[in-house]
Amino acid sequence: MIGEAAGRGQLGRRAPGGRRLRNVAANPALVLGALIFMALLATVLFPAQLAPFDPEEQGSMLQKIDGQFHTAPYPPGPRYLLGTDNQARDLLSRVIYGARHSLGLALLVATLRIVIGGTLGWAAARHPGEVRRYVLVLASTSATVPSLLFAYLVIATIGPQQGIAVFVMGLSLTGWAPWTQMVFDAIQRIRSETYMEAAIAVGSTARSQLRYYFLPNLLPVLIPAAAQEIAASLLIVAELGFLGVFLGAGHDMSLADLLGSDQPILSYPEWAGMLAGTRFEIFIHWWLPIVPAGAFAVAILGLNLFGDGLREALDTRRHSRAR
Amino acid sequence: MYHAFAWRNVVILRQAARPPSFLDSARPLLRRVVDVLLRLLAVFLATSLCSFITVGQPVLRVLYISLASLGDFVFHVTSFWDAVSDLVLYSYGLSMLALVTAIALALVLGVLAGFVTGSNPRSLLSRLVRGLSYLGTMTPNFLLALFIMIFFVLYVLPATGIRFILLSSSVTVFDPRRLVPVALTLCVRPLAYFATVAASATAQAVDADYVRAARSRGLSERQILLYHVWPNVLPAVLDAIPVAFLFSVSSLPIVEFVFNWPGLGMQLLVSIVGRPRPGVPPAVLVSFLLAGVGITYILSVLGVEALRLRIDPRARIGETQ
Repeated sequence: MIGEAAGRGQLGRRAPGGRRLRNVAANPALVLGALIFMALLATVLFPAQLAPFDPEEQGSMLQKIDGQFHTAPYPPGPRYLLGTDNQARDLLSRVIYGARHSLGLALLVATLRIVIGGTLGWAAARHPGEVRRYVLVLASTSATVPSLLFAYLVIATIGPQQGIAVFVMGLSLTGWAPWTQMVFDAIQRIRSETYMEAAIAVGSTARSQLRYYFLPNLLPVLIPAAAQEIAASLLIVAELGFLGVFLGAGHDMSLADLLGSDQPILSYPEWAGMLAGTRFEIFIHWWLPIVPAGAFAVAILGLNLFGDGLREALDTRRHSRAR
Repeated sequence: MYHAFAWRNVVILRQAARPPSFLDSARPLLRRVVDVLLRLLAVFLATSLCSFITVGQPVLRVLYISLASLGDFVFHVTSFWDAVSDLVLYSYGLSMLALVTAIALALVLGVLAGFVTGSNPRSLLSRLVRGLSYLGTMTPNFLLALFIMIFFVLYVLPATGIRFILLSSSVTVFDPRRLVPVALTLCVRPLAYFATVAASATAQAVDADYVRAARSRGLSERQILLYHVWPNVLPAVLDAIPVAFLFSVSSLPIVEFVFNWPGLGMQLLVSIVGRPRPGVPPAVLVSFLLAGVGITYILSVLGVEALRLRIDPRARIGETQ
């Protein structure tokens, strides 16, 4: 019992309410990250309530702006806050509706990477000898393969029109190696702690070790890293979109899709798809690449800040040193 | 027993103190070379297998064709190499030029910024550098590339009348103005990373007991920083080089794509979706280009390890033990 109380990790310790609030307020990364995270969550859950227009609604192709007639795409202005695309559709509404697909894909990829990497890390820690050696060699080999190139290779070869499964496979087959290393290191560290020796000495079962020692000490390390893994996955989704590989593509990838300057026809709004084919638009219609790229950048920044803030908030050793 | 233990330590310290001979540093390196070559072979075969996969057919047929193509590639690797070597070496050379320029720039600026930040962590400049480093590690590369493009074309060119960057693919790539935007974009993430690593190593070293002891001996701040802090920051910076290299390599395709730089990354993208050399399967080119990336990464890791063994006594003690 004493061992359990001592080994209970950072999540198990409860600070008084007032101090907890002060800790949160003194952690600007957590506050800003949580705000962006909540905003992202709101766009995913309630797009219809937040978007000013239907994402597929086309405005008139000729409009009078500042006394002059212009054709679509229209620049940001009072009517269209972030401008419109080539088909006169509101970019703000498309960004809000597109969050669901882009963030959903990033979440799926991050989850699969965590599951693959975490399971292998656990296996390496659990089975010393040959299994550990092979798992760690596999992880370090996988870490040398650039994720973007590998994902591009897999998705472009199989075809982006095959659907979300191809994206999830292409993006999750690499990028899991840091999780293997992290879980392996964390388990080894926890095993070497005195409270674990005490727990083993008093005959604690494997289940109670997992419940009272491993999970409470692993989660404060893994939860912040999970938020940052979603950000890392989102970054690759964005880069793939810029290269013309996006969810909802209607046909096989070709050289024209990569090098061409035409924006593809999207079957539904998605941030990466909105970025495709906008490379040459930057000097003419700058909002076409900047708006979706900005959405990606804000989401990535928010998730990273949230992860860093959580790491600081859950690091009770640091708090106890500060006190 | 105690004497034997103490004598062993003296031997270790003496070995560490003398400059290592070539054999000393080569032995652990050779062990690692064999290890990493095996890993490289695994990466090479795995990526080749992936790039040889053809879809839209029954699973067994896909497996058969993929393995047969891979076998064909492995058995005729030299004749395939003869067919594409000029393209691979040309694009490899261009990418290395951009990567080395970017990492050298990042190393100089990042370490300097990190060293200044770490030695005086509470100053306004330090906070600014920390904030910028944080942003630099997180900003998507294509967004950075677009901002650099806008900055030079829309602001610097009209203000100075000087064309610092060239984007047209018709201009020869050896015009340094084509290298500038590529190297600048590639250097941002490594720069931020070097600054963070150097700042944290400097902050740790500044708080260490030996620095306090040096201060109490009346050494000047310059002497302390140069002879006590810097030698302890250098190993951390060296360790960061392969990671920074990996950052830059992973950004290579997107940056080369934005700036039309016909290097390894751009060539890879084109090879995956097109057939740049008639008669040669795209997968062959992809495999050779990916192998080029892998070999360069491994060489950079080995180079850094050799350098570290040479300059860091703690690493030499670790190897001896």
